[in-house]
Amino acid sequence: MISAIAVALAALITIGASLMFVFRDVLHVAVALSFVFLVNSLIFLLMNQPLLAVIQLFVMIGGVSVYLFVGVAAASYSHFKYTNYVALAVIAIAIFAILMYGMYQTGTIGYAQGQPLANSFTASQAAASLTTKYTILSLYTIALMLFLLAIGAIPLLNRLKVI
Amino acid sequence: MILDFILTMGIALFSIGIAGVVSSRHFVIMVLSIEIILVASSLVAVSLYSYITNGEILSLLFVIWAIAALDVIALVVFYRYLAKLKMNLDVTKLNRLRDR
Repeated sequence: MISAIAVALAALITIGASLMFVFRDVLHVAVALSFVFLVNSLIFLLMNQPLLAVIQLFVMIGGVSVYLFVGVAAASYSHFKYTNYVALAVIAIAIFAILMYGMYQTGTIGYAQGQPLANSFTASQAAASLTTKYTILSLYTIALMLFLLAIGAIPLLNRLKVI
Repeated sequence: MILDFILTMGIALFSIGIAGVVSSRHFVIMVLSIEIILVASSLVAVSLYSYITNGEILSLLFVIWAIAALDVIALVVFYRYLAKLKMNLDVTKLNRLRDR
């Protein structure tokens, strides 16, 4: 039963990602990407990781997707004629074949056959993993980069009277 | 069995993302393909964590989510900028920004 749900979600997420290249306006592309984020979160739930699923939902759907809708899709400015679909399909299939061959060679595919879940991420583990020195340093660096990017965007957009 | 499905899906998503970056010249599509690659990497990381390894996962996921947010902020800023200038979104023609 769970395998059937996994296959269905796998099909949905792959279709959602592929639709991104088919639609010709940014709004529908943003919707397809949000759909991929949502199904990704559902797959986290299927793997018994509810905490990661909720964080994924908040960050990617609540943050990134909404920002994408407001910032990009609302402008409705697009010319979608630059994707080479034949090259897209050929390259995707080639990379997929190479990576799957590598996975089979390393024995990762089929490794956990019939085994139960090994780990489930909990809030107490989150607190423990965030208290190491390097994790804190990397998170502050990322936060600083985000802050500087947001601040730098203001004069750039203000010069053109976009905002 | 579920691990196999999800790893296969992660690899498929990664392939679609890489192919999207390589085959498209559209600015928005390229950035959103990078988002697909990030989704695939988070999926593979969580599936391997759930079934096989017992390592550190949250820092990696935070980095992935932060890169995704950075991507989208940069995309929105440049997109609004290019839209205001009514410039082409073809990345091979972005050097025309130099004349503005």
